[in-house]
This record gives sequence, structure tokens and C-alpha cells, in this order.
Amino acid sequence: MTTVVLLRRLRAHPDGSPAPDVVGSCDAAALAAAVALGGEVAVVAAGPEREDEALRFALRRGAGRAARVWGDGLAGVDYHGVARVLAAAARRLDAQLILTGDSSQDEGQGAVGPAVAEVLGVPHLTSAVGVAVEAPSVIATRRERGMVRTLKLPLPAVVTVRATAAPLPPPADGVPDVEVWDLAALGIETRELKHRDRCLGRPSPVRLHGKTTMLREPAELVARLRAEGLL
Amino acid sequence: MANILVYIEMDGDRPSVPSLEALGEGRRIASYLGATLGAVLPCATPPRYHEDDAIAVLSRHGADKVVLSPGPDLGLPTLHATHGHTLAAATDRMPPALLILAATPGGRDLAPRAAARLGAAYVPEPSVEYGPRGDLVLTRSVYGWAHRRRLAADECERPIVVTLTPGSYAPARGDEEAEVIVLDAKPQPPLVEETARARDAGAALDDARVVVVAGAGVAPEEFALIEELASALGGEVGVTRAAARRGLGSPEREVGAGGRRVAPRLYVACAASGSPEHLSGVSADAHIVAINNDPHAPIFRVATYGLVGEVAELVPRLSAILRETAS
Repeated sequence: MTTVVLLRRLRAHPDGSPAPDVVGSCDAAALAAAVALGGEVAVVAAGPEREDEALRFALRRGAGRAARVWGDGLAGVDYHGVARVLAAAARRLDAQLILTGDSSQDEGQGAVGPAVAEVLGVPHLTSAVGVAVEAPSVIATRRERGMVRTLKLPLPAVVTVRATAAPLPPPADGVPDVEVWDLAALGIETRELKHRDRCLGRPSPVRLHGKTTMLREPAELVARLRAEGLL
Repeated sequence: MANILVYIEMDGDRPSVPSLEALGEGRRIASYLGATLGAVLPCATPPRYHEDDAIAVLSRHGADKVVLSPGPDLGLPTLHATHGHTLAAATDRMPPALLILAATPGGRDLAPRAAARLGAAYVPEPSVEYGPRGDLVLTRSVYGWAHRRRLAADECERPIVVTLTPGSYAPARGDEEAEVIVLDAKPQPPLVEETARARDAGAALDDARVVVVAGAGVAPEEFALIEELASALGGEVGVTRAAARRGLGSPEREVGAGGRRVAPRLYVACAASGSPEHLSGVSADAHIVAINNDPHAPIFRVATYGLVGEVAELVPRLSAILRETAS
């Protein structure tokens, strides 16, 4: 069975400071879950060369194959376009199970996994905190209303992962190269990827600033919180 | 006239409170923009008696129309795999300019998929602002509270799907009887089967109005002070990933991108630097109190109130004052 993990390199801050990690904690959990399942693990990213860093991170930690899809038409597309490309790549890799992070700590939109499922016409489940496979099903656990529910979904399926008990394997050397696929190889035409990033909102985010009130004494804090009805 | 649809999750045989809150904000947006507000009510086929009550509840909470859409039996969790077709049948019948869901575990599973199906912009858990020119502005925090993205609805040329944080919006009132639309879509069998269920040890954090979190700078022997402060505030204890990795608290109580999402009114962060990993698990309308010995910690850029100092000194004093002055 082939598990495909969809990854993305965490983005640098809009103010220029670098991302603290290569991949987000949810993406890392998705990779750890895939490696723990056994079988073939392939990782896919859509984007320019910097995404190779995320893919090499995965290759060193148990993924057997990595592909990055890139083409001019992909610059600035929103989650619909990214999902089309990733879905085509997953199809090419003959994925039975597709895992990805539930949401990233940069944009945190959490839309790509469900959108890939929509493109492929397969079921999805978000926010899993555990993943197992009992062919022909995937078994995922999910927190909801005071319960941890164990849910069984038929394969092929997309599961987005928040956390997993399985640790990532330690990094290894001597890993294969990242394959680079262009859009044509996946049968995608640039004009199909029409939606652009602007519907996420303004591309340069607004910095929050200067709203913190610094206090000296705990008593002062309690008085303020009481006055504001926060206690 | 544009349609605004709100998906209603059921709690037993009644519309859930988060869904009524989402309907309330939908009512305010619809009145502001002059749109029609439809509530999508999943129903068994054929409709049963309790659905009459649910329709009345939705009318009283401001719905102009109630769309009865066939769904699976009550009791199954709300997920795309169970209720996706219920929502899709409704959006096919009344294509929405805006689709609103409560940001519950179910709503967060349904919403992005519905957005993908509609070719919509997807804006999870924004704050909703009413602009000066009759426009609607949706703002969400990104990069763990450090920045915001702002989407003006009238600049977006396609539908918008949003989820709204439970506990942050007031239900609305309506006097008119809603028009009922019954969809004759064929109910689809659920794609998912529940095979087991266990208690979630950290679940109290999900609905807590006050959360006190221990960050990486809390020493193991100081953890009891954090628990004592949470108790004095009537709140719950959480831990950041960095603290959890050092063995503080239990893994079920981790707050952050890879842990739980919390949506309290008051969030007290003790010796936590305020990393994006941590803060992306905290709803953007929480009031943060930061206690940290580093005056330059990023958490002080996003907190409402800050105290600079040691946890071992400030936290017990805070607990004592709260206990002494409790009414």
C-alpha cells in the first residue's frame, strides 16, 4: 500500500524572520503516522525549490520517495489550485491513503487536505489524533465533545492529522533525490489554476502592535480583569 | 437577493448552541447586507415531529428560511463523511454568497470541503467587522497572532465560507415565521462507521472560559502553582508543546497547532514565549495575560495584559489575591 503525505515548507514570517521549523507540527505528525503504518511512503509538495527542504526532511525520516510539482502557473494560486496539483500527483503515485497536517502554524487555513479529497472524490476526515490501516479501511481517532471517537473510513481516503503517538524516526543519510514534476506531466493546464491568492485577504498581513498594557502588581491585574468582566 | 446559509448542527433533537450563535451572526450580516438568511437543518426522512420544534427554534433565532435537507440518523457525529451530502444538497438549491458554520469539530470538518466544492474562499474563525460603506470585513490572525489577514467581502468575486468560534457570538431574535423548504434529495449512507469511543481526558479545555497554560519556562516543581492558579480562576490547565515535551501536564492537555484548540475568554500564559506553534491553538478573541521573566518575549506583543517577573513569585501572589478577594 502506498501512503502519500502532502507537505509544505513552513513560510518565513511576513516581516522577514525565518520559519522556526522546516515543516509544521501537524505535517510532521502526518509524516510520523505514515512511516509508522509501514508500506511505501511517498511525500509530495507543490511549489518552488525551497519546498525541497521539506521533502528532504521527510526523505531522511522514513519516506521512500519525494516529488515536487512546479510550474509557472502555480505561483500565487490559492488552495484550490494547490489541491488540484497535489491530487493529480497523489493519483500518479497510486495513493490509497493520503495524509497531511490538519493545519499549519503559519497560515493555519487547513483547507488543502479536504480540497484534495474533493478533487479526487474520496472521503476525508480532519483532525485525527491517531491513524491505523485495516485494509480496505483507515481507522482514525478524533476528539469531539468530550470523547475520543474511533472512526472507520473506506480507502482511498484523505486524513488530516493533528498529532500522533508515533515519534518521527531519527534522520538518516544517503537518501534519494527529490523528483521534480512539471504541470504538463500531471496533465494540468495553467489556465485551470485560475483562483489567485487575493481571496485569502490582503497578501501583506497587518502587524498587531502596541496593545499590551504592562502592569507591575498582581493586584492591579486582578482589579483590571474584574473591571472588564473577565473574571 | 444574495443568500446567506448557516449550517445547523443538532445537539440531540435541538439545534446546538454554537449553531444558534452562528445563526445570530448570520442574521446580523444578512440584515446589514440585505440578504436572505437560510438555516440548513439536517433531517431524517421522512421529517419527524421534533423537526417542527427545531424549525420554530430557528425562526425565533432569526432564520428567513429553513432548508430541511435529508441527513443520516441523529447520533452520528457531524462530519463530511456523514453530513456532506446534506449540506451539498442545500447549497445546490440555495447557492450562498456566504456560508457560515460553527467552528466545532464537525463544522471544521464540513466547512473546507464545502468551500472546495463551491470554489469558495475559505476563512476559518475570522473576526467579523461591519465596514463604514456597508461592507463586510473578515479578519483572521495568522503566524500565531503575529499578523492578520483581512478580506473585504465585496472584493472577493466568489462565495465565502467561514467558521465562527463558539462562545463568541450572540444568538439573534426573529419574529417572522421562517419559510420552510423541504429538499427531496435522496439520503446517502454515511461513509464512516464509529467503532469505539473513549473518554477524552483533556476535553474540559475545549469549553473552558479560563485557561492557564504552563510554558517551557515553568520548572517541574512550579507546575502545582499553575494548577493552583487555574483553580483560583475556576479554569483549566494546559501546557505548551515545549512544556509537554519536558513532561509537564498530560499530552491531552497540550494547546497548540499540534494539540488542542482552545477558545477561552481569558488565557493566562505562564513562562510561555508565544511561539506560532503555541498561539495558533488559541482562538484570536481570547484576552491573553502573559507572565514572563523576559520583557522581550513575543507573547508581550499580543497579550492584553503583561506582568514581567518570575512564575514562582508572581503566580502564587496572584492566586492568593484571587482567593482573598473572591466574592
